[in-house]
Amino acid sequence: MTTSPALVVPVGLDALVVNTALRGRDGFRTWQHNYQALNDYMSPEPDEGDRQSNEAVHNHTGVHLHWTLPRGLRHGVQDPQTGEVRYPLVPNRWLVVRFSGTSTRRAKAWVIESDCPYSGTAYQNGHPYDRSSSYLVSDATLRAWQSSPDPYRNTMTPDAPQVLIGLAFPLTDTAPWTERATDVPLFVTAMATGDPYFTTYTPHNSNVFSFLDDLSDVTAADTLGYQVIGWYSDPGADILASLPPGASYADHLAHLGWQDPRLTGDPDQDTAVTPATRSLYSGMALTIPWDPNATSAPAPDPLDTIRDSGGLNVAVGNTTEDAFTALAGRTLHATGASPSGSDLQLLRTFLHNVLDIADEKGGDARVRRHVHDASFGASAGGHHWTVTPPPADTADPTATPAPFTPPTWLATLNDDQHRLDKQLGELYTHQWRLNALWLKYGLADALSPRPGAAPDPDRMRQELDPNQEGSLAHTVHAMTAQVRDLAAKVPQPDDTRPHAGDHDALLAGISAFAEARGLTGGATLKAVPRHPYWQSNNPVVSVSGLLPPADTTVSDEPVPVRPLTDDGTSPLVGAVTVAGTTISATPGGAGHGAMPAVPGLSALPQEISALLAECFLLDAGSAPALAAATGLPVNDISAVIAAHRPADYTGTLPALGLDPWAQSWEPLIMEWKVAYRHIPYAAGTQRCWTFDGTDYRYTGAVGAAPDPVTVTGISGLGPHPRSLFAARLKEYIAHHGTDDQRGQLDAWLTSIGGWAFLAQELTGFNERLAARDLRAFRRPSTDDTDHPHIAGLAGYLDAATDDGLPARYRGRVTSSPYLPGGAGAPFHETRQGQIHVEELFLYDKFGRVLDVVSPDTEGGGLHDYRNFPLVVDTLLTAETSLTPTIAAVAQLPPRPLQPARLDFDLLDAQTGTRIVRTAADPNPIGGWILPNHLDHSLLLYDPAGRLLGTYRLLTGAQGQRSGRWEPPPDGTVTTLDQVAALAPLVAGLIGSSNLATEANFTAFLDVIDATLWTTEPLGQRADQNLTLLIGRPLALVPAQLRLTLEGPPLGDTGWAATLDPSPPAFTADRFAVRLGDQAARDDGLIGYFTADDPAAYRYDRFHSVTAPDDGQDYATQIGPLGTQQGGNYPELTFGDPAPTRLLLLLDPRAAVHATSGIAPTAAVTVPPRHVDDALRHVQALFRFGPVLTTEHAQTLVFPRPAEKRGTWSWLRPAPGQAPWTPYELTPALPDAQFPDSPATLEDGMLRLLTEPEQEH
Amino acid sequence: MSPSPQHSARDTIPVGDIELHDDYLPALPAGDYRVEVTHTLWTEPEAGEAFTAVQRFTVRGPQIAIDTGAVVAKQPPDASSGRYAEVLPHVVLGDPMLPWERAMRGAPAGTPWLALLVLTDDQLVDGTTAPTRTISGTVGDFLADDPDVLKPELALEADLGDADPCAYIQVVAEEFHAVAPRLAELRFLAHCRGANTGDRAIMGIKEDGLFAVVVAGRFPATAPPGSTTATKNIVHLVSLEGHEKILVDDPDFQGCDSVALLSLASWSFWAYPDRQADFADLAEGLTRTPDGNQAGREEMWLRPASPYQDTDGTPAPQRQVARRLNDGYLPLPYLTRSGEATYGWYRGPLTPVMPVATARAAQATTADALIGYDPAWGSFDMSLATAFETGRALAVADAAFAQHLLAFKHAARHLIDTLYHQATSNHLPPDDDGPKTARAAFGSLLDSDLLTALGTPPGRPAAPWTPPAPAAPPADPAQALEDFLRSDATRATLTGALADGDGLKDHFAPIAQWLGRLMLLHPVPFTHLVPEERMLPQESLRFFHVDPTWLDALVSGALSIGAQSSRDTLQDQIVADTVRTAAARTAAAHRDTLRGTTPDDPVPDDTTAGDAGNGLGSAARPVSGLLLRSALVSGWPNLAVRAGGPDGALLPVLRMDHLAPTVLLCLFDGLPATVELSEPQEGFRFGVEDHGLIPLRNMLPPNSPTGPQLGEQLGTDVTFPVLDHLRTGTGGRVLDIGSLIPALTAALETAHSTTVGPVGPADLAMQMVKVPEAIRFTGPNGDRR
Repeated sequence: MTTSPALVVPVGLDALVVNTALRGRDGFRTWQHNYQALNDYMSPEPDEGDRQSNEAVHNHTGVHLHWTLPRGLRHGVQDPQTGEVRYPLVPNRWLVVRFSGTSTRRAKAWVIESDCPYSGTAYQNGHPYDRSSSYLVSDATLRAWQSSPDPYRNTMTPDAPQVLIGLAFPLTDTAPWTERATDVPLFVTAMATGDPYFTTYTPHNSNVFSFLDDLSDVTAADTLGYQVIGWYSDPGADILASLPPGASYADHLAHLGWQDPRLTGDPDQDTAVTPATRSLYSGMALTIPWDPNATSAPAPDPLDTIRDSGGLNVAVGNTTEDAFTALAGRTLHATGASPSGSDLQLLRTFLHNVLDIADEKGGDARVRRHVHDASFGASAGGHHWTVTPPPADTADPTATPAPFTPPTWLATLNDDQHRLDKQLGELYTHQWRLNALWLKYGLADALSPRPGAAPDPDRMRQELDPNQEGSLAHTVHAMTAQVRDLAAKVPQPDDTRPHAGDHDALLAGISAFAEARGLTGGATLKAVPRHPYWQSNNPVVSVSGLLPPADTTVSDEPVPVRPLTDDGTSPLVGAVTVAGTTISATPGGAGHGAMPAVPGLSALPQEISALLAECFLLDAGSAPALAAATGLPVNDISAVIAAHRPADYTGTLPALGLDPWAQSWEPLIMEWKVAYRHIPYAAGTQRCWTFDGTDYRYTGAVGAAPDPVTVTGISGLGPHPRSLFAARLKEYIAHHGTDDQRGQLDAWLTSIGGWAFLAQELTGFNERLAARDLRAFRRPSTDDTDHPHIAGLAGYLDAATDDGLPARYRGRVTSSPYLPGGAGAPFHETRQGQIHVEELFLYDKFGRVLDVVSPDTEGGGLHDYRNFPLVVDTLLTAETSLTPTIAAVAQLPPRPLQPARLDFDLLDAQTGTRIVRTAADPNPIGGWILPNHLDHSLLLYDPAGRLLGTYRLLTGAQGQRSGRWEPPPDGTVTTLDQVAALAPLVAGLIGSSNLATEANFTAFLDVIDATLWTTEPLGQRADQNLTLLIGRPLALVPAQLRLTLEGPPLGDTGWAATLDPSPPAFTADRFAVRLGDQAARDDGLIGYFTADDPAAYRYDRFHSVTAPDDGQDYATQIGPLGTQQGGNYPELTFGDPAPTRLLLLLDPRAAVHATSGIAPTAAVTVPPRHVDDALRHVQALFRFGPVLTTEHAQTLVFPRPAEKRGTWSWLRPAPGQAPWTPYELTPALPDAQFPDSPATLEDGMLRLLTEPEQEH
Repeated sequence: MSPSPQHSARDTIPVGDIELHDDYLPALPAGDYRVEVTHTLWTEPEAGEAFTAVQRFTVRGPQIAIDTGAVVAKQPPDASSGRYAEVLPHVVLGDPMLPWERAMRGAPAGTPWLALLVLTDDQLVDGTTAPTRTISGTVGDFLADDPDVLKPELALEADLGDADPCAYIQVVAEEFHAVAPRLAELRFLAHCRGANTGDRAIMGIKEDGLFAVVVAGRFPATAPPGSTTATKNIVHLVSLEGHEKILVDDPDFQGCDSVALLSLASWSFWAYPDRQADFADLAEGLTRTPDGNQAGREEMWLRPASPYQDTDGTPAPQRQVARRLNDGYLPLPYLTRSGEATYGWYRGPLTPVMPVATARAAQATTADALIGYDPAWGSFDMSLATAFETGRALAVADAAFAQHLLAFKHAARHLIDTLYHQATSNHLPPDDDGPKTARAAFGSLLDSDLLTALGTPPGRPAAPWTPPAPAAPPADPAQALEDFLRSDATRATLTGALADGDGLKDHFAPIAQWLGRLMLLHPVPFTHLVPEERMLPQESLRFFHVDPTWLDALVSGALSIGAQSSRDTLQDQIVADTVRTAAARTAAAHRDTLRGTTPDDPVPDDTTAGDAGNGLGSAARPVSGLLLRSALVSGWPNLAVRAGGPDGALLPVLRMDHLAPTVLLCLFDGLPATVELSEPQEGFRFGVEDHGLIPLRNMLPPNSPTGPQLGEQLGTDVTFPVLDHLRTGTGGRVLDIGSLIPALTAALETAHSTTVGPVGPADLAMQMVKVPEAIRFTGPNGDRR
């Protein structure tokens, strides 16, 4: 055996004591992966309803041991080149030793070969197959087994990767264990099978990381101690055998989370430390009482306690934050401190980390928006390309940057990119369908009888044939070719030389692309991510009263490990001193002779002997034996050992396993069964859902909904709420806490560490509604004899072909049709309905179950599902329950079940077609309006800031007042036709005869004014003083709205729809969009005009953010917010053939928000450059008069305004339509000088011409 | 007669009184100094080593020039002509220490280094280009050796160089001997004065109420009595430093023809032997109509003369015109927006009749709202509309103010938004005293038992529980905000914030300051006050009321800029009262602020204190004033104007400014019953009365309440013949102080029947004072007496 330095790494060892009483009392949920099912095109994971309970092997009496791999061995590392996550090999040999007996201790030992297959030899030698675990192995492993001399391995069949692994070999003197598989490569990793529960849930790792000691040889009450010691059968495979490239020993240990005491953190000293090259893993479970004849289950038992008290609450919400807020409210309510609405709102806002937003003006609405948007998850929405101008001359900040014209090919590139993004969405959907078709083809064959609705196999085969014109495979092939063509037209990652990562390769590719297009002079081509597509998250369930698994909550602190070196001093515990007597131990009796021998040690790593001795000295169960050997009183020895005081021991105590054993129960997995009642968009002509401006409410008739659909699922439980709260609290205290709070932080964090809160989303809920299956599924491969092309066409990463997709576009098929037991499942196009929990139960790593909600009123869930007091977050509250017999119903307002997006874009004002996203794009501003609420007028400007005249109420011949256009006083524009040529949108606005009536025009001015009440008047931009003096310039901006899906609409996955999918129905549902958000105070929208078609805005009706007065027929309020009857909103469908056009009137300094409920809030902002350019050139006109002035040498005497950037002049009115006469200004002074011309009173206008040098 | 006064005189001395002091000596006269310290170390028993340290320093003082502003008054006035034969010219210096800041060699402390020489053209050499014969050059030129010119033995201060400019004169040696005071006489020709400056136009200097006065020892040269020819006299304030040796009875001019003297100030005047354009004449002229008749009080209002009578016999249209004109209106050409030319009535803020107050102007948001239309006569009254636009134009014209106003409006808007947010946020508990931010509220939630409660293990849930839902957002945010803004509580908070350092005070203060000036019409163009010259002809005094409504409109206009929505307008209206009050307070304190008597804090923290500004300019507390267009203004720039109320008490002066060299504007806090124009006390003259006599004045403190006051004339017939003590053998009339003082002392002791101690410079000044002349008018409120 090697003597190279080794590290002793502590591992946690859990022991569940199962006696007859416990078996009778507790249920066990045990299920395993059945990889054989893949042969039948079924998922290796069981259907949720099909999981086993109370399997004998998993609730067998005895002690169930489970050791937890150190975290460092469970962490994958992503390969920067391939993106693949690699997991380290884990120890594959585990020695399990049980100490029993009192004054004479006995030891019983087993060696567990974690990676030993259950083979014919194992069967012949009497190994029970049900104590081995399912695993999928590679061909390489199968071949290695074949060629191994070990009969346990070479009796495996070479062609079945679905195997059972893990055998326990008793270690006896008569049949000593020796290493038989030195030349078989190790293969077990924490995630090799893709099973997240592989290392933690004992039914998945029996005899791999867990072991059942049935204690058949212990027939009387006893106190047991267990030790588990693990190692790598091949020292070369040891995690410490070699360091990762570029990493030092210290780096490697830091990554593993291990603290070698020889490392100081000082790099110079640490390089001198001899690296350990082997690792040993040691865990202990001590003083476990065992009584084979006990009539009661071991106590205390947390599971039993909870079951007795019923002390837990369950809440449901959109997000962990929301569910936890509701749950915390319930908890506070229970303590008698009834939480106020503001308390809960604060808690929610705190958890969402937006307390700062809450403190802004309109904070409530902004928080509401944030919370709503947080219930969606993003998926990339494609790219938009922009070219940024060369960097400005920083040496001269006043220099005006030269106007920058983006290159002409930019538009083409964006068109190509847009088509590519769209085409990819289509392709992915077809890939999914192709994959599903292939799976169904195989499944239909495997099922007996063949499902009646399954299509004819020949037809299916034809569709799978890429050479068959018009087949699905052919279509995918053609689309792949199109994508390849389009992809070649946009920048792609540079593959001509190696790069540090994907991102660098892409940047290099972009640079090369720009260079090839001739982009020079410091301008840069940049990819701007387009808004992502969004899909609603699964509902989240949070549970209080239960502690999360200890393994999920360990701190980030490194674990102390103990190095075993040749320097003569062992850090292991070698002796304990009791009453002055130093007691040592050695297996087999040397030393004080109390320690039993452990057979077969010579075949094991040599350090094990010392580790066993250490365990013996740390085990209070050893006290009688040690007393007998030393003559010291039992109680003295027992007391010293139980205390585990470092001072009493030589050596360093291990970091784990010293606590006395107690029966534990920490829930690991939640299984749930939720009843979902889909509420259709409409029943007949009556809509069931009404948009209230923020989200949808169910307002349809009761009874319109069909029968509930049951959705089941399984979710791992995590301590997320606790860690979330702790992280937020730390941040809050660090930035805003008082000194007092800072002082309390540590204590608070500690107390949070003891909180009993769990949360988990209902994983797969959304997919199930859409009849999609997230479980593992059989996938096509390139060596499939019948369909070798399917894997490549479906875009699998490892099936790349020369004519296939570029690597970055592959790997999108991650789910399969949900066909439980081969039968179809209900399919929903959207998620919109009400849910209630029918069943909810939790179980721990050993499978012990806590039934929280159960339909079984007899069998003993904590709650009957009918009156289960589920806490429903306010956002999911159902006003009208469709299921009145259920106490707690949550409502899920309509959401698409696939990524979707509300596209809200500004359009180029000139052409009305191109979309404006960045400053390099065309100008979206179609004209300016300067409202003056004091003199009830509008100043009109063209997009560049040129004055187009005034619109105001004038008194007509009959005394009636009506709105009319007045040309600008300078005479440059004299007809409305000229206005229409310069700014057609402005001309459209003032050309509406409906605007001209006094009531209507007044209403228009009023709604503008009312909106300005709540819009922030400016960012703190000092350069806009002039604009401030004359008012708030509003812009007319064309925009469009569109609901888009990522790819085509979801289709049914059932057998009947396989080749003949029914057309989507929900794409005809009309979803409302509210523009503007006055309450949030950060929205600049005044209102909008709709359009009949792209060229024709309906100027006769203004849809205003604020409510207009009655008695007019021009302005109509958007919404209004909160209405339950359906308000004034534009309505869109996902199936709209064209975007919905709108003409917005907005304050360009704020964004405009579009709220749809079904998607996150969309917002658009006019790029500041377009605003600033125009406002710099706005010709300011102040109506003045009467003023007292005198004329002096062709100038007028007037207090001269101070604006420096332009020339002020006075415009004196002229009779009729003649242009007004400009006069220069002479400053009027308070000095007593009598003018040489008489004083006159004049009306007129004060005009500022800005930057006259650039006017010509 | 105390030397070296210790207190600030300007406010402790009653208006109109003066204090006289012999001198005001600096602690250390100007010059270069050396401090030498020797420390001898005694190592017993004998002295050991001695250590010496020397520190040199300079006490700076003016030496070759003084600030042009240092001369507060010259008497007789510059370029004036008058009957000055019996007047001793003098100069008033703003720095009360100036004459004693430099030491004269060989003379006791208290001997000034400055003297005022009254000269005639023939006594001066060169410098013919300047009216006062001053030669402009450098110090080097001045001190350069010249066998014909005697130069002073001057030790220049360290910071002066040959290249520094200076002004000097050269006086014929003989004439210098004749005119210049002797070294021992010098101290009698300078003294220090304290006077209250509250009734003076602000001259732009830092006044502390103490002045130094240097008096000439020579009466002006005049033609013989009865002649109508004026004689030019040139006065120079000269430095005698370095000329000590020639200030003796028998000087040695070292063969020089002339003496060079630094001239620190100079002016000239024309002296007539008889009365002509002096103060009294000018003042009296104001009381007459152009045709020479005594003007009635009605003719002294600021308004144009009406061609029509406002009497029953006048046809109605003419009578209407007469009424308008009598009320101060002018018909002005009016060019309307539609281009039509018409007429509109205009009246500025200065009105001849008690204005009728209206609240409209304070609430107006546009000028149009203030256009008055008289349907009976089809005429427009554009006065208030013009006032509004004037305020607006002035505000736009002042970039700094516009910035401040916008910043203030923005801050107020921000404050209201914040208050509204705090009042409505569903993150904050509803009680008023709770935390004001979500962060703070969460902090107090943490400090309560939140964490403990969350850590409490739950019990078995029984009844379903629904979390309380947050309040829905208001259906109409703008309306909710308006309701909030209109609530009394918000108004109160906002008003309070204006005085709160943490609130809007910093933004508010410069606005109140500017509006205060505006309410005193500082930036208002003069044509807006007096649109036509015939309302204020040459040599006229016009009284007026200040129209508070006009001011309201003016302020409304100034505040109207930057209003972008009706929210700004409403917000403005809420703060307007406070703004106007603060502006009025600033206006009331404006003059004090300029004179530096109040801390630079126009917005007192305690707004409830009854202060000077409350209601200023309102009907209850009218402001009135006068415009004086006269040579009096240019001749007596330090002219004192005192307005007396009906009870005789002096009315505070709000503003007194020269709008032009001949135009003085005064605004009073109240309606004066009397207005008195007088020569300034500190500028009052020295000299003799008829026949060269002076009345002797009481030099002793009053021994009883009824006894003569200090300085009171002992009797009309108790006089002293000053002209008996002139230097003999010289052409001009130069006082022989050496003989005058003993004789005067003897006369005074006789008159007082007791010894009066040595007569000092202040005593001499008191005896030689000519009473300032004054004229009193009946004020606007005179008939209410």
